[in-house]
Amino acid sequence: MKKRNLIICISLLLIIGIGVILLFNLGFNIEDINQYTEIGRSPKIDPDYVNTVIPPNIAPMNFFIKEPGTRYYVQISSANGKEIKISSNNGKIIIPIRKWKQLLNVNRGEAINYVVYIKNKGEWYRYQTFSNKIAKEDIDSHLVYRLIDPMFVQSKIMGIYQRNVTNFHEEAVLHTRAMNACYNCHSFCNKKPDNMMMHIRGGKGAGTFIIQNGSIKKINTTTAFNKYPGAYRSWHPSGKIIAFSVNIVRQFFHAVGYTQEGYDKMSDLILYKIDSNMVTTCPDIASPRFMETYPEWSPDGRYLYYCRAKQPDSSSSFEEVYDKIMYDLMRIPYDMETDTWGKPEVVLSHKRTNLSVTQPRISPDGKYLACAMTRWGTFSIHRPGGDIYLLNLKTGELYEADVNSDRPESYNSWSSNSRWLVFSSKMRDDVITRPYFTYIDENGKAHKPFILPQEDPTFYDTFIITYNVPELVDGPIPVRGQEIIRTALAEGSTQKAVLDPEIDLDAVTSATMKDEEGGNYFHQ
Amino acid sequence: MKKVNSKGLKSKLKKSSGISKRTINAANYQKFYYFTVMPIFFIFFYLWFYFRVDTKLIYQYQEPIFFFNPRFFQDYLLYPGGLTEYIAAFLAQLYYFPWVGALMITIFAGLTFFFTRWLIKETGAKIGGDIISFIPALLLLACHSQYEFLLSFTIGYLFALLFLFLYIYLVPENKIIRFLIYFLSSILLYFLVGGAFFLFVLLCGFFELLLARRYVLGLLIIISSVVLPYLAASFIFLVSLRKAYVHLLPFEYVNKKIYLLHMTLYAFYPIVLIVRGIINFRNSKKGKAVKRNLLASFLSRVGPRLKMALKFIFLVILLTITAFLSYEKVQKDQLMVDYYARNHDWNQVLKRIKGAPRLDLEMIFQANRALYHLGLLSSDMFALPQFWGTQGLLMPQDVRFKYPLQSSYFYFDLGHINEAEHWAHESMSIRGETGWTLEQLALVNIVKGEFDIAHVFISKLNQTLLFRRKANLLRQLWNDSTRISSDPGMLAMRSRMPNPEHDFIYYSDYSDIVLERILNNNPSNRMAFEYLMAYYLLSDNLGQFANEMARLKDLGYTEIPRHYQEALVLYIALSGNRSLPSLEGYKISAKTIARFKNFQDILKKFRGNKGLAYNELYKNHGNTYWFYSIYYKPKEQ
Repeated sequence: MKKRNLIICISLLLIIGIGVILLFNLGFNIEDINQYTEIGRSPKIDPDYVNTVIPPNIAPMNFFIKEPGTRYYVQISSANGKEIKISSNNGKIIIPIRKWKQLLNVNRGEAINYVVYIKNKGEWYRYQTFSNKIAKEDIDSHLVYRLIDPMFVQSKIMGIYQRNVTNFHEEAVLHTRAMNACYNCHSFCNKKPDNMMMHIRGGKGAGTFIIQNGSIKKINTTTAFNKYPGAYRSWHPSGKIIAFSVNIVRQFFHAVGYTQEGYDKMSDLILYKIDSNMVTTCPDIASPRFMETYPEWSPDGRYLYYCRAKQPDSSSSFEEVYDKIMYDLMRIPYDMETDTWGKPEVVLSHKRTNLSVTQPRISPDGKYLACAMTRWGTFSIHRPGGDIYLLNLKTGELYEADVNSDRPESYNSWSSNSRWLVFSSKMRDDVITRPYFTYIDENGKAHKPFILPQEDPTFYDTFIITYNVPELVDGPIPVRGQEIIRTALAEGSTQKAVLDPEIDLDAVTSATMKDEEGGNYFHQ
Repeated sequence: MKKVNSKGLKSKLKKSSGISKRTINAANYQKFYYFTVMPIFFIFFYLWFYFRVDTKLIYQYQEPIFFFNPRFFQDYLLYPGGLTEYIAAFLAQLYYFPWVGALMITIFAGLTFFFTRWLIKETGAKIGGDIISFIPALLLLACHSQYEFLLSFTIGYLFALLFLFLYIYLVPENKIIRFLIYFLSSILLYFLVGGAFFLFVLLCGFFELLLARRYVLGLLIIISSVVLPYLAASFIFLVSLRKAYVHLLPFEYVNKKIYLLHMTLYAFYPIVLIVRGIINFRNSKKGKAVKRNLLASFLSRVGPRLKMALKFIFLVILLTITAFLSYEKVQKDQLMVDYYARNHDWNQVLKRIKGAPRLDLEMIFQANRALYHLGLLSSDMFALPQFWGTQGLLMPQDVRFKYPLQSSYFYFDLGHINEAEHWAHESMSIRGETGWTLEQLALVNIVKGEFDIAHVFISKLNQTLLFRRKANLLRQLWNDSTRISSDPGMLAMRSRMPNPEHDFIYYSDYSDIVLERILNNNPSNRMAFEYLMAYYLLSDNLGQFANEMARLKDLGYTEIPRHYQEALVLYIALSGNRSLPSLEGYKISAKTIARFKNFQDILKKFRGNKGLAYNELYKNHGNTYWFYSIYYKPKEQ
């Protein structure tokens, strides 16, 4: 008798459990909508994932429907595969990741369509279908960025994070929780995570960290030439050299309009040769007459691209000069075998555009150079009119990418297949920088950008942290933050770089900034 | 008749149950202890935090943050001790309401008392530890009387005691099972409270070693736990090794007073176990022939009622001394001034300043703000001791980083909206996304017309526990553009803002240049004018001061304010009328001239000896610019 009762109880529980599961999986997702009124427009959704091109391996692009209603129902479909149906009571459309992946994977090159129904005051309304296009090409799996307060002067909490963009997994690589310092300028060789470098500023762990095939080196890149360590950086494709800029940066504030402002007071370029632990330079990239910054190697390693502006007259006050500093895009040939430099040439003069060129990045296929252009200086993120431009390196054609808003756009990074570009923008609210992706097709056309998808579609409504230096990379960083910190804090772990004995200090910006208060301020 | 019967019954019962006089006294003592001593102690405790410390000031000082947001919670799971901080972040919101905040601290003190009393009894002590049991609660009173003492430390410590309680009470005697349960619970506790788990480790270890005499188990407990933070920092959590070991332990405090108090609190329990261990050891060696110490033999001769009274008096003395020594009067004054300034209760700011025994820079800064808002800056500012000079008017850059939000409020008043935004952001970087900072950032951006970012700050504010009402008010303002353009406060604010067509650069280290630029940009900004004039007076720059007198008419002054008259008289006396600007119809009153003459006469009386003339000048002219000019003017100026 007891056994029978037990069996009955278990059976009942099973039935109830199955019922609950069915209710959640089917009942909640399938709406019985027989009658509805057509609305002659698409619904307002946030983020704006409409009429854009999306990677076939991107995480579900969850969104929030900004229309009044008590019930929401969305059908997502494409040419092939099973339609996804989602119901919601609050307008948040959370797309199941497995179904989303399946749908995207079998529909590369196809359109993905969204039909939205909203129940308001007891009536169902159907909005006009909106679509996105699924690209054929994947995006690199990881985005590495720094999260930091929308910084003005002080910033106590920051971290370098890696986010798997094919899902929602985010992980702190380094954080001030582990070591109180400033982390910046993470960079990868050839878009592979195996060769990475980054800086740690301030405190005992300060240094430049080069991570190659699992081993971590801590370098002090200061020499008799450069009192301050390397800052902006670019890996030579061989993985044996890193070009750095050495900058003195100043910050001040405006009374009207955009509050923050920054400018370089001085800057030069140096090369750091990893195997020989040597810093070198040449008069053409460390000229006393010019400020050189933002180095970028061409994918074949034969040219070093960089930005260059005239060194302002030292007798002028910064107020007189800061908005007159205009950077040209330059390049200089370099032969790694013979360690010889060619003559520098102007690739893009500011006189041609009346804009200052900054942050050049070349697509891995060598066809395009993306850069930010701004009214003056290098800090395009601090003023409206800072926009992303594309330069066709074969034809020399320069054009504005169709991704810009009337708010600042800035730092950018290509995917390893040259089809995706991630860039920083304040387009959402004018204060907080966030990463946006755009598809660059074979003709070099940039398509409508979309913001990094988040599991909670209203995430950006309350996330008051800036995404800084977004870098696309083809896989997760292979070393753990704890190992980097252990190296940073280990006694005697720092290798002091040696200065190339052949450098004639008098010919370059001699012992740069010897009497200057140095400062690194990287807030892009 | 009834009474007699009743007494007789009680007496019979006592006799029949064999209760001695001694046990009746013990029962009476217990009654006295539980129904008189304890309630008095904890009622005092509650009143102390409600009235004297005032927990809303703890809230104001610490600005604890709590958001109903999954990411906010997830961030606390990323390091050992995070969960305790999360709980503390939530509970610290209760500080905002002093009656609840005081009750919460009192409950924690009650739990502390309970665990301590239990532990002392558990050691087998014959004395109940009746007074000693109050010591940790007293230390807690001293700790929480420090406005910077964080609740997470108390919660971490209480979790450690709770785990100890469960370990001693519930864990079976089998050594292997005991160790396994200990080990698993220590991992759980470490995740929960971080370094504070060492209290649990030490107490479990000492308990096993000294009292239970399970030596191997005791050593194993201590040794196994030492490596736990190392493993956690190396392989699991992204935290520094130091943080892995000491987070939520007293070592994290820079403030020596808190460090010592907190350290004593932590040391108390191991010491109790060690002392008890030593006594047990001696007892076992000497058998029953244990010498009683002097205090014990004295107490044994004292009558029970007197003993009770003595213990009670001793506790009251301890409580009084602890409260007296831990009270932070100066800091409370500072916080009260700041509190009234935040609430724009300017009369109370001045009232508090006048009663304060010590005035720091921020208090004078707020007092000057109060004077301006009450229309008294140009006539009464030297009634305050302006010994901070211009720094008390506009805090220097390094001090602003200590008071970023207050700086933002000031620039907001001044109409320098970008600087208000700048300092609100600094506040967010330094102190986190606190309710007041988010509110200020939302308001600043509404005023600036940056509605998209204002929406972000309002949405975030709406996720807090205490600022939702403010978030709703701000959202109403945000939604209603007509209200923004018609609200008198908004209109007044916008009238002080710089002309959008004329940008200028802000120099953080040159306050006078900034004020000049604000005023030149918007000559109707009366606050900028009065601050600039005050700046010139405080820096003894009478030439520049005199030059700016021409603005009086445009700004609608009906007469020359008192301090300006004083400065002009002095300027004329010093420069001999050479470069006196045109006063355009304004006059220096005869009264001012007479007062100045009197001032000079007093100086002459003492043959120009400022030291000797001080008392008389202070009595008659202590609230004048002349007095400031002679006695308070900072040396560097």
